[in-house]
Parts: sequence; C-alpha cells; structure tokens
Amino acid sequence: MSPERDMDERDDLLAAEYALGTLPHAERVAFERRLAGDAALRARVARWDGHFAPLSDGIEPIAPPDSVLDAVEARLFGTPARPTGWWDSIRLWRVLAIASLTAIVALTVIYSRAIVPPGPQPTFVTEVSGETSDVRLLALYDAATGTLRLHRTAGTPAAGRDFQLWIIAGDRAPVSLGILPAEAGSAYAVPDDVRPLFSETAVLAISDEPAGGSPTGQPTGAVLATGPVVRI
Amino acid sequence: MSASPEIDRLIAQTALQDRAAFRDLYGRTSAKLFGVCLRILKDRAEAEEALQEVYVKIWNRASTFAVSDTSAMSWLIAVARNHAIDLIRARKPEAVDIEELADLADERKTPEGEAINASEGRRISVCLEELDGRHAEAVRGAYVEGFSYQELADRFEIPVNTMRTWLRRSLAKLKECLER
Repeated sequence: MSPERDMDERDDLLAAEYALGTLPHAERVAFERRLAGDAALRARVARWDGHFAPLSDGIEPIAPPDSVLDAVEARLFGTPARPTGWWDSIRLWRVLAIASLTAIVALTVIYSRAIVPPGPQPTFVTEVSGETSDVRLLALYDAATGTLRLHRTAGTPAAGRDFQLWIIAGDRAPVSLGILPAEAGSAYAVPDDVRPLFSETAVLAISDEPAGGSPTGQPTGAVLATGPVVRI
Repeated sequence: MSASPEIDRLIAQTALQDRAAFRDLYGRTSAKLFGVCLRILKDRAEAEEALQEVYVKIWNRASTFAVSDTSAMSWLIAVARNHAIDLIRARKPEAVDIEELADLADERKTPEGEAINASEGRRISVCLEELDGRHAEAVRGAYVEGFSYQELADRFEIPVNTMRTWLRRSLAKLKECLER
C-alpha cells in the first residue's frame, strides 16, 4: 500500500470516528481544526454522517419548550418574532420580496443618486435577466461583509452546461463570480480582490458555459442575461 | 437518509436570511434534534441550551450546506450531534491510544473515494448485521447515546485501548460493506 493510500485510509477512519463521536477530546479538537481548512476531509465526514444518519431513526422526537425558539430568535434577530396567519406565509413573503426588490431597482434607476446619500458600507442590487433566455437572477451584494446573495427566480442550464456569473467593471475584462449553484438561493463571500469591482458602473452577466465553468477564465459561451449594478 | 426536498429548500432559504423559512425549518426539525441532543446529554436543561446553540449554528452555517452533497436531515442531525458530543467530550477529556494500527489499514482492498448516494444510507443497518453482535451494539451505542471509548470499555468489560481497536476494525469493516 502506498503511503498516500495509507494516509487516506487513516483519514477516513478518523473521519468515521469523528462522525460517530468516539474520537477522544484532544484528537477531536485537533481534527476539527484540520476540518476547517480541508474540504476533502469535510467530504469524508459528510459521507460518514450520511451513512450513520439512519441510526437516528430510532430516536424518539421530543418537542422542545417554546422558550428555546424564543431564545434562538432573540439571539439572532434581537427580538423574538412569532407572528401567525398570513404573516407566516412563505409564499407571500417570497412574492413580496421579489416584487419589492424589482421596485427598488426601478426606483433607484429613476431617481438616481440624489436621494440616497452615499453611506460608508453600501449595498448593491442587480436584477439579471435577458431577452433571449428565461434565466432571471436577483443578486444582492453587501459591501460591509463582502457577501453576495443570489436568488434565481427562473431558468436552468442545459444538460451538461452551467450558468456562470460575471462582473464587468467599466471597460475591464469580465471577472468570474462563480458557477450559479443548482439551488435557487445561495450566498457566499466574494474574494477580497473582486470586492472593489462592485460599483454603480458595473454590470453583472450570466453566460452559458461547459459544466464546471469557462475553461479560459473568460466567458466562452453566449451571454444570456445582464443587469446593471445598482446602489441602494 | 430519505430525501427531503422540502427541508433542503428551507435550509437554502435560511441561507438567504429568510427568517420565516428558518422558523418553519425549526418547526419541522426541532423535535428530532431535541431528541438527539437529549439522548446524548441525558439532561433536559442542558439539552435545551444545546438545542439553542444548534439552531444558531444552523442559521449561521446554512450557506455551507448549499455547497455540500449531504442530505438535509443528515446535515442537521450531524450539526446537533457534533455540538452535543463536543460538550460531553470536553466535560470528561480522555486520551485513548490505538493498538495494532499498522495491520488495520491493510485489511481493506476497496478503492477509495466512491461517492455514496445519500439514498443508500439505509444500508448501514444491513452492514451492521454483518458485524459481530457486540461490535454492532458498540457502534449503535456510540452513535445514539454518545458513549466514549471509556464508557464502551466499561460496558463491554474490556481495556479501553482494546475497545478502540475493536471499534476501528468495525468501522473499517462497515466501510468495506457500505462501499461494496
């Protein structure tokens, strides 16, 4: 057995012990530290988590007291919010969220910068859509945290193809913001060197690329949709 | 683990900071995760506090789920178990050496790295059947009750180092079976 293979086997057993929970404390802490920077190791753990998960079928669900949700919401959102009825309707809020984002884009374009004094940490919103494709995407970029949130409201790539998102700042070459995930909603941290590209002169675009993304680092397929970056 | 597209969707929306989706996710999954925490921690007040931490983690890490290929329930249960296990392991830290590690790795001839579809997860029960009854019991006890090697060793009345070697052999056999 090659040393690499041997290392893989050891890592896989450690991943199994970690997922099972038996890894002794000091080893567990060290393993968690390794996990943070090692995607392959995280994948091993996830595989074992999946293997073991059916063992929890026999564990009886027990309703926790309401105070737990209150405490969670108080910690995350400041105040416990426990609305009922239509207020709780996800569909309603989804529709409203999309409608209001679209309205914000439209209003901001119309009224321009005069009304919105520039703040130190701006937020940018873009509605990416095209006439020749049904792909539609809402992108919200928070400059304070460097987080880009995406919500694809329509469109899926053809079999064996991927949608790739780009930012084009002024007359510079497009810079990839990554492959659009299969899920409708996603969020990720934009790399430090790409963050300064978000400005009101930038444009987001979606191109049709081979699975896994453009092999050249520049768009190779048709540009399906575009939208201006708007500061809100 | 069975497919749960609804839970998948709620986690994806939680990643977008959708509070209503998060509350819905909590409503559908908190009883299971509370059951999981309670079995490991064996104390209601501690389990309630742990559950709170677990859902704060779920909110904060929901976007990392979007990029993993785990099933939604497996991921949620793993977040809950890992938190509960971290708590009990830190409470009574122990170190356990491994005996005879060298010959352990050589037992298996399966190729590395095949992706296991989450829907095949149910095979764990089939593969546990192939183990010696006591070994299967040790794996189940570790998973469900969060037993440490010391606790397992006490239960099976064998030295703790032998216990660990035993269990690692069982995990290696399980792997061979699960990837067959």
